[in-house]
Amino acid sequence: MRTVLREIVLKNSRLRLETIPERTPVRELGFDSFALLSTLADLEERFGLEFPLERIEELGDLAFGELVSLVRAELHRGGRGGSP
Amino acid sequence: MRGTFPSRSRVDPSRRSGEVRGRLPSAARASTSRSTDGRSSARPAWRRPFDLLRSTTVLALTLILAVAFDLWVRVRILFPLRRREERRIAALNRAVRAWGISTFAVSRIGLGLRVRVQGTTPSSGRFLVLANHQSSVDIPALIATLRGLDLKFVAWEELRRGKPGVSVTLRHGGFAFVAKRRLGDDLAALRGFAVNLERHNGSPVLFPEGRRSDDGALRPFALAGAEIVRRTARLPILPVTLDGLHEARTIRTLHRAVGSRVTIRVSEPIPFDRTRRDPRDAFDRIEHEIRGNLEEIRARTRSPAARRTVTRRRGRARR
Repeated sequence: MRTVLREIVLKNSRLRLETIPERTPVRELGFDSFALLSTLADLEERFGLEFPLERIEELGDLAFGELVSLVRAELHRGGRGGSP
Repeated sequence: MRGTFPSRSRVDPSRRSGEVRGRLPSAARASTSRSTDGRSSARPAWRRPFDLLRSTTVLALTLILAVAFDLWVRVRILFPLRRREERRIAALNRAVRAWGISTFAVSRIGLGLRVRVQGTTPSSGRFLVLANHQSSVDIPALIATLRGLDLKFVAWEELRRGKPGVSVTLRHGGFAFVAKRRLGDDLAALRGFAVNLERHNGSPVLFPEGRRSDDGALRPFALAGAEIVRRTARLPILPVTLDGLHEARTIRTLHRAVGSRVTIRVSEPIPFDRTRRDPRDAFDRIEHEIRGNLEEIRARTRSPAARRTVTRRRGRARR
């Protein structure tokens, strides 16, 4: 799962990242609103998770480590999303 | 179908489209915006009162049309067809088209606009229309130009109530409202709008610059809104370039548009499947195309060849 998330983040970032820092918010990793939207769509496609679009900005404030924990928790809960 | 405009403008060549970005200080804006295409500065001062009179007449006629349209929509469409959704939607679409065509005709005749449409306008079907935004006349201009389509615009939340003709149609006609306060809320509203488009046979129109250009130069595209509509509605994209009305950015400056040359260039549609793999790249290409179109249109308008054509035409007319 971590590898897939890494792929998603690297694909959608506007920066050419070699590594993804664990504690930097993804917004600072070259994520504009378009990238956040694409990330949500990828999460839905790859994991079947549906995060509410209304909370997309909160997704940008998450660091990669927090994103991994969030996806893990959502998958554990059964995957309707809800709280980025 | 492409050609050159008759040109009366004298222009500083350094002020090409795309070279000026962002907001200028107000004094600089006042002095430069008038010379972006040179039309206003070339217009003699003694004509300005007449231009003001013309634009005021156009505004008055537009308001009368809007009030009549408002009454028509309420009395002849919304009330009698309140239980017949399909017929109501079709009637509203026809009414919006009639409003757009008549409003643009009033502006065109009243302001003496010389309008040139370039490219092939689709006679039917549904598209995601992406256009640059220069003035308040852009909306009727697009409806009149793409009259084979039922265009659906995204409006500010403030327009939901209180604007004769506009508010009632926006509320009932399958249009979208955005508040521009929280990105997530606006994206959710746009997704709802895109879901309903098919029911309204609608072709969404988005201005990815987000708001009207200050000086006619293309603002950078903000693409999240376009992307959510593209992804949800799955329509081919129709890029449209509008130029010549940036002087009439708001109705207060409408008089500056008198005698303007307006070009509406409709590019080739891009099928949905071609935008699927890398949407950002597809949008970047569209932005690049519109920017290039603007530069080309302005260069043609100012070229010595265009002026020679005008001189020849005027010469023939005198003979």
